[in-house]
Amino acid sequence: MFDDLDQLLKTRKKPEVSAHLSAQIIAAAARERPAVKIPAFVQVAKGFWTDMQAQLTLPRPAYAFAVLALFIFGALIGSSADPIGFLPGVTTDDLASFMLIEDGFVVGEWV
Amino acid sequence: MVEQVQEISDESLMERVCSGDHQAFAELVERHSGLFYSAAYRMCGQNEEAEDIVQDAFLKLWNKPQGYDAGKGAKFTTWFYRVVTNLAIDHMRRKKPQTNPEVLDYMADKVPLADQALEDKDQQDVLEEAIAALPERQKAALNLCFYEGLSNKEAAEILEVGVKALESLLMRAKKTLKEDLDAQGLLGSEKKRVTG
Repeated sequence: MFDDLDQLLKTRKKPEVSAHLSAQIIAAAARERPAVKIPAFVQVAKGFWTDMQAQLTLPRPAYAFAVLALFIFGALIGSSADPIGFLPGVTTDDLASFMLIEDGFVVGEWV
Repeated sequence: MVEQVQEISDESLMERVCSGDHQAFAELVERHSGLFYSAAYRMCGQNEEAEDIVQDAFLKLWNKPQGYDAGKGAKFTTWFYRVVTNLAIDHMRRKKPQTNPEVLDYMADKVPLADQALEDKDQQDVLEEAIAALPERQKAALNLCFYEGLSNKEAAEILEVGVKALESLLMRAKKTLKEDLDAQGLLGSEKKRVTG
């Protein structure tokens, strides 16, 4: 019997650590993927890509093709001078209205 | 190489863990698994559960070492005590329906069964059960300050409360324990022994 609570609390047994615990944890970590610090912007981009993949249902080649087509379109616009030679009949005003830009001059400058 | 790693501070090891250095991680585990196992065991009271909690905590550290921000000035051990304590509290909350009825039944009958309890259970069991019956945060405060030897300021930081709130948790824990252990004849209970 104890008169003092602190005195009684001090009699509490110290837990015995298993000899294998450290080795077990180290081995479990080795089985998991190594932790590599990834820059924040890469994490954001990866997260965005993962979310996008979850949302979109088309196969990957379709997106690759769309990106390629956009690239070629951009390259053609970039390589051609005003007027837009490869799209006969399309004026900068048409492009401006298509892009919801009121000032055709801006589109003209851009093209 | 091993000697070099052993001389490095915890905080520097954590920087290396952030870049995927498994050797640095292993050194942290070797250094602290015993310490944090004891902390987890004192919270949950069972070997296997304590081992699971410590393993979960270290794997969390390995997979997301960025959770520790040395720039905030917190010691690695202080931060990791928080991780282990929170995991232990979550663990106990999930297990509560299984463990509490037994403890509550025991505590409800403690006065008439005081002498019998002392016969059936040894002093350690009675003490462990009284501590186990404390609310989680009171138990955590008691463990951190009394058994882990941390200062009130460090314990308050781990439990994410102010120092005054921590002192209040400690005071309530000790008051409850004193009443329970007194009722069970372990503390200054001459009158109970005489009348029993």
